[in-house]
Amino acid sequence: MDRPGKVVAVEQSEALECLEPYVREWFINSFKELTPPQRYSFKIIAEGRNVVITAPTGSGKTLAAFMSILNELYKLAAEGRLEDGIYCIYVSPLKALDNDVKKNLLAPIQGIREVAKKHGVTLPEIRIAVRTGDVTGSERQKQLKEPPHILITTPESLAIMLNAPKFVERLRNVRWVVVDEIHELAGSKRGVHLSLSIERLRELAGHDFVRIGLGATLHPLEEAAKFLVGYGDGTPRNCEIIDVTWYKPLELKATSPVRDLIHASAEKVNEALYKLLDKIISKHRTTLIFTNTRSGTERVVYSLMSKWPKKYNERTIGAHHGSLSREIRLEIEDRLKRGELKAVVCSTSLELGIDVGYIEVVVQIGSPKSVTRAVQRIGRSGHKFGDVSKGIIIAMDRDDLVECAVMLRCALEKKLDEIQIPKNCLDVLAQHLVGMALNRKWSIKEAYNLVRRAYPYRDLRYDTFLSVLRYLSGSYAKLEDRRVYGKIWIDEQEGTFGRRGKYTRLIYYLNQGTIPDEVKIDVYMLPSRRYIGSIEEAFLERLRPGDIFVLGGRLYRFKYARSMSCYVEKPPKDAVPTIPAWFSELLPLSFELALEVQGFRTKMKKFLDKGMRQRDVVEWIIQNYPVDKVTALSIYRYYREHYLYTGGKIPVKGELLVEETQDPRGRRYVVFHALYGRRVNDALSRATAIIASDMIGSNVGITVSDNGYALQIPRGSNLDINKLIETIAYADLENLLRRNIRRTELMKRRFRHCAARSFLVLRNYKGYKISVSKQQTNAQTLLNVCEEIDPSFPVLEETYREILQDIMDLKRAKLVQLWIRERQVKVTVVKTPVPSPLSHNLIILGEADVIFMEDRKKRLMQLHEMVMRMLERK
Amino acid sequence: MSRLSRFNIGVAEIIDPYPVLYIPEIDTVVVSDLHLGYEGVMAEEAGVFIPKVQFEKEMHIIREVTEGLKARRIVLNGDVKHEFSETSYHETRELSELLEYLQNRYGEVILVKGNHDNYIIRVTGRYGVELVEEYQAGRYYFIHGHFIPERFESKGEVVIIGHEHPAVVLYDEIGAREKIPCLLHGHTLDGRKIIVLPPMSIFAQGNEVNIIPKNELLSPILREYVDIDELEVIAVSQEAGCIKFPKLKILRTAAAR
Repeated sequence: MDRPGKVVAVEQSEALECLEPYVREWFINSFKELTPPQRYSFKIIAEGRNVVITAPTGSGKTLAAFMSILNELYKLAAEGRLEDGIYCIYVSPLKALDNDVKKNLLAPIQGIREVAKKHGVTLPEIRIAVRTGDVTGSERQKQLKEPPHILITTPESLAIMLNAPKFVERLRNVRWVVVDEIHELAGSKRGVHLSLSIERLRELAGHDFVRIGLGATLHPLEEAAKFLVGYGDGTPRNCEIIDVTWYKPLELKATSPVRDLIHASAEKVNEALYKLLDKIISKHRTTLIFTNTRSGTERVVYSLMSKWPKKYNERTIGAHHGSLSREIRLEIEDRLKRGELKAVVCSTSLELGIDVGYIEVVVQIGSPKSVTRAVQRIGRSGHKFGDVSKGIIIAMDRDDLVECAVMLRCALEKKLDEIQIPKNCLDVLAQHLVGMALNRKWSIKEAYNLVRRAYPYRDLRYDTFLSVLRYLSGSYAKLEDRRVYGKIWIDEQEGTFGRRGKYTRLIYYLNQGTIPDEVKIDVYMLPSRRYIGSIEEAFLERLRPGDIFVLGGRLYRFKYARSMSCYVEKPPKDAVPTIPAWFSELLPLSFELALEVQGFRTKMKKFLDKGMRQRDVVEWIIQNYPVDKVTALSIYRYYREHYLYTGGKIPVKGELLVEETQDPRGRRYVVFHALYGRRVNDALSRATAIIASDMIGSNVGITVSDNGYALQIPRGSNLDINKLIETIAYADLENLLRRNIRRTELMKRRFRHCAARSFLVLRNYKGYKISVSKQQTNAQTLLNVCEEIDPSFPVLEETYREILQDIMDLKRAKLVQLWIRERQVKVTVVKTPVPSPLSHNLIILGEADVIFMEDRKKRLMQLHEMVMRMLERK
Repeated sequence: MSRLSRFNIGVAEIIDPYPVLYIPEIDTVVVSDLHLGYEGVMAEEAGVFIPKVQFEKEMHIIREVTEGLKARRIVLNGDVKHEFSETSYHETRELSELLEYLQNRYGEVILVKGNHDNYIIRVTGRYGVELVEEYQAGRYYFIHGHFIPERFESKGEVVIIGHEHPAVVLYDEIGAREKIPCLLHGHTLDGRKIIVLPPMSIFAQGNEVNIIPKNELLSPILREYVDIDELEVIAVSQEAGCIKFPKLKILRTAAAR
């Protein structure tokens, strides 16, 4: 192990010495020896120190965390000091994982008792129970009367417990809090929500407890540790780090289904993909396949079953993703564990730590977009600790291919991308403030100090905190309406706040949590009005009557939409899609990996400049990257094609290549080969489009991908590229984006999410479930109204923050801007008659949006002119 | 006498840039679909806590038009309030304030009932406002538009309705989508004139009349007595004022790919 953090490994005997004799005996009888994380963790936890443990599947993580806890509980029991009350709380983001952990703990709990009994020590039973949304009311009652010593739960249920008046009493003696899947939680609002819950728990308990974080690896681990333990008195609390991720050797390979990814038809590529999958599955005992999207999962399972029905059927393979019912998912998990399945195909749903038994190989179709994610997923294979983790990535296009090759090399070099923990989320804060107000009356200062102990809020400003309290008090409504609008009261003179409104407790119970409802638009076929499937709302916004689009592998022509329904008809015979399919499920490429790919491009250009022979370049790629010969050849050809086409213009590190071009339909594009990942490009592209829109006085279309972005401008317009770049270099990006974002679909959708989390739009009110469409119908209006009454309305501020920092990456976009300004990135402009090879994927597959010109009057006048011109032409 | 700009559509004038009609021939102001109390109803019934802003905005327009025109009569052409089932506390407050204001400034205040206006008599009664299902003044005939009245053919030479919340959708070259509220006017199939008012309510979603098929229109009058494609379109928005567009059928073609 090369990075043990600050922790020193101890000898097995020393680690075991921390345990009571009968506990030690049970352990040795059951396991013979300690796994590496256990060798570090037993002592640390026994000494009451906080710790983060990251390790791959099969490393005995659960016991690494729990052994010392069980030991302590039994010690108390033996001394007759074990009381009724919850000593340990375990939180994971998955109910399935909760059930697994309970099952895994029952063995030691019973086993230790039996061993002790043999030695004449009679130990009372240690109680363990799961409390999630699925647990029945009577079970909850039982837990209240006879509290478990170890409580297993989810972040959402924990937050509810903190407001269950009687149950809270049971939490006061808590001594350990275990957070599992910390790598997953730390980067999301769910994790932010949990961090506040833990600080609230700390406050309710009135004393510190030991915090233990478990998970797959991430970078930097120090951040994860701070996220777990929070701040006490303005400085991070202490935390040890145990990282044994790299104990498991990795065997990695990037490949592609066909020799030539560009000239092979989609059909042929798919055909070859299934053959390749068949080959892999046949060769291994159990295969776990990741597809990134739910539709992809369905497609792969369906194709394998229909091609080889004898080999692949419901007895041998299964699909697993979030849209499937819980029963189906549980069944697949169980059968996988029992080793009954040859292969399971999932979107992303099995990347978390549910016990899946023995997986021999992990296959990833398409790029997983981040080194960390690749390592985490591949780490699911090889059950035992010493086993090799074997992963194969199958790239589906040439950008993918390069990306995956570079990614796997980074994985071997242990270069991970950086995690980003959302900061100062005001919607999550609003929720917890309501929860806190339900507990008791608060001094504002005291509450503020509590909140700042949670790592994501350590820098929260006091006036921002106050603005959230004011919002919750209904300050935006007239005094006489606050009984309806206000959820708390606030007395700024006295410096206190507390609960208000008879429905507030119910609102909190029914609406808390951070996972938003997604709007689905139902698609119906005309004239029969038969249901076909559903599309995302944002996609509907892009559809225009007559558009041809793909849904579930078939083509349809859009007719019209009515509230939450979309009506389509059969398209003409040889129709082609006029609008690309929607890829919002796609993960963005990490910035770090994007820069690595830039470095690879730079190398390739150097080779091509030097006129190096094909054989030598291919050989060099194979030597340096985990790819086969076919793959290396594809990569080489991709760059050579582009090189020849553009006269040697491969965008390298330190260069921004701008390509002016048009597609076969005569649409004009300005393509920015900005390889920075979609989150950065999302910000850069919008800022560029806003400036361009101002310059040419028209709306501008944008297409964004990981590898760059393109502006679509009207045919007749005259855009001075150099001036455009110069303006971007010196623009105030944040202001520019804020001004524009508010008119986008993205803003509307995200505002609804934030409004729901902030209890401004309820998902459930007075016991009625509010339909998403109703929530959404009002989001736009609500957005306009909120902005009018107060441009710095907290819910609005949070929406901007979420978009600029969590969805986009404003920080890095500013960094790129600085590079351009300081000429660390030089701009080259090139004109092409049709899009260059590197532009293809971007224009065809990128995520599209429109940047509206700011002046609405001008926009309407232009549309008017357009219609009048059309009339004249008739 | 007034600084209000007027946009002439022959049998009436639009008070540019508002969704307000003025008919000089009978000295009458017409507005439709105010949906008062919307935010309060949403907050109390649906848990959507929209700050109350609509009433002030509508009152601002009504005051400006009232002071500017000093007309003799005002017709509220249906859906003055929002909640169907009863008259809520929020609606009552806003409605009372509106009616009191109008009663003091117009010789006649006519409230034509819309489909949302159930139980409204509890408030109108207090202010002596005339509450009717339909209303005729000279050759002008007012009805909200959610049902076809008996002997509709014989009623008035100029039919004025609301209810539909008409809007048109247009796309520019790069596919940017713009939805614009509008007023429609033209002829019924039996040769009378018809005007479809845009809503006063800022919360009205706008029915995309150049995209949805004719049988999906909200108003049975438009479905059965009018070929909506033959109506003229006037875009009405506060940002851009009134803009005259060609007939709806042209905009239907323009919106399609």
